[in-house]
Amino acid sequence: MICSEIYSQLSEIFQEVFDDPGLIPTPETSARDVKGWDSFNHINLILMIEQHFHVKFKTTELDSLQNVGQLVSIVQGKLEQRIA
Amino acid sequence: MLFVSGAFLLYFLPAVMAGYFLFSKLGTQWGRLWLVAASFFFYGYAAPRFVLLLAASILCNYLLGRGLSRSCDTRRGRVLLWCGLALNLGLLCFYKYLPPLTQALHRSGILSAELAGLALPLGISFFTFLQIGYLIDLADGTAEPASLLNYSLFVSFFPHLISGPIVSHKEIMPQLCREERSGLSTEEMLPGFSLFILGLAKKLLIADRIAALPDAAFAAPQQLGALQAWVALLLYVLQLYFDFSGYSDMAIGLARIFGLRYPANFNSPLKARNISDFWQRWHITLTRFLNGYLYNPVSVAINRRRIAHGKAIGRKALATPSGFAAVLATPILFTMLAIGIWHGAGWQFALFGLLHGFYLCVYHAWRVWPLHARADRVLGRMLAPCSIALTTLAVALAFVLFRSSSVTGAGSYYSALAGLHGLRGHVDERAALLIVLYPAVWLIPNSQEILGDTSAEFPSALQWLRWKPCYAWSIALGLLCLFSLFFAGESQSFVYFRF
Repeated sequence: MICSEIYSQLSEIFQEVFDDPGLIPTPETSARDVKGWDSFNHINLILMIEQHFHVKFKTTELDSLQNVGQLVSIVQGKLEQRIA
Repeated sequence: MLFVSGAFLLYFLPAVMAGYFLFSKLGTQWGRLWLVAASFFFYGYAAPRFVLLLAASILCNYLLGRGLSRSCDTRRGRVLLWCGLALNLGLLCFYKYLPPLTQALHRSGILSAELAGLALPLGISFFTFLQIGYLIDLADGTAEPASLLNYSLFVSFFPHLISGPIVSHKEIMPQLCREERSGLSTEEMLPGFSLFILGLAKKLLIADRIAALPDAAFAAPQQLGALQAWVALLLYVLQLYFDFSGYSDMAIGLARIFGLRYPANFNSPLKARNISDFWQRWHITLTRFLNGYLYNPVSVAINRRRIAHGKAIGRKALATPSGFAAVLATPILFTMLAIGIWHGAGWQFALFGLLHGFYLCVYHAWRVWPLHARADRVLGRMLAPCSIALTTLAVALAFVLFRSSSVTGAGSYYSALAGLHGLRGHVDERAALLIVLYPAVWLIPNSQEILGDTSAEFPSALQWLRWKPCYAWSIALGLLCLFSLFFAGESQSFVYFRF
């Protein structure tokens, strides 16, 4: 899956989790920039991404997923591993 | 030795710096070896009988780590991880949580004095957690194995060894692996010393000056009038903040002198507008650790189970009390209970943690189920000063449990606060410090902001307070250091040394 597709699908997930229809995450978007991106919603975000993309995150990866750019590159890596 | 002691400032630190400068000329590894040796000397000076324990802990965890890195994501890896967790937590429990039990058995005449008198190894709570984090990440494949030298320095480096910050391998190992950087540099030493002196002043000029009043109050709460109790409690909050954040500044400054960047441990917690914000600003590295290694796994496990059983997660789960209890309250209470009992074996620490867990549940519940539309609108528009005052009040009330030597003592203090032992009593003139110090913590930028280590906005009226490597700052900090050392009274040990 190419990056732009991941971003487009992620936008829908972000809008659902943070209840903000206008939220469009960019590579630089981080927890500091999004209202309500706390520990609770971080878990919800990760689990929804897992369900949507059929990937699984390790709990020790969660802390490094507070920036959308890193999140997308890890999701892309997991998708490529699945195909391989 | 304390960071504020003559032995440290006049002998140890200059000797370590000189040695590091010289050994680094031979090579990066020699410089690091010197720092490890100095750190063991530092630990041995304070606690000679526990040096072997520290060395054994480092070696065992290093060997376990090697095994884990070869077998991550396998059954053998899981077994090794559980052994590692059992060893580390077992050691911590043995020294930290067993003594109250053995002392109780000794008082009942069941156990001898020798067996009941185990001392707590300095820093064990800190270096145990640090190593547990590394083992868990190695087992998950999200950490790289390190050399014994780098690992030893990561665990034992004297700035953070005794009382943190609880550094993460993710931020330290890349710095240690940078071969081109070694030896001392003025670019790092100047801000390092500046931060160290700011921490020194916070500890000696403020925390130690305040300590006597809360100490006397908590020693005899049954004799306190309400006004005395409130004054002492509000001073204690300041004492604890300046003591621990002062220590953290000194630790971060010391590490910076040797070229290592540590994470911040405080971010003006008394400016917090709600209890969740408070825990993002107070003892940040402990919150970060327990969030990552306890809150996240518990929350993920609960939510994955709910998904498997077709139950709602996220905002939809919060619609019902049972959903709220499962997905929010349970992981919060687990984590805050752990934060409480990490501090000590007494019931008062467990209650301290649970009280903060309760506060966080109330905070989240209020956001999900506003009590009354009008009340919610009023509270939503609450001015920042009111939010800050309410948060500080909640934090102060919880600190009664933290500071008291027992639950009974805390109960007596709460009675004093409620006026059950009388309303007034003689109030020491040091109470006037409240009028100076609370506005100071609310309005003046914190140490990291002064040094320019954060992206926070600096108040335009206080631009002159921004640190610069110039003569004016050097002279001012030099004078502050001398003033702190000469006018300090009998220096007290750092509060967090006992954890």
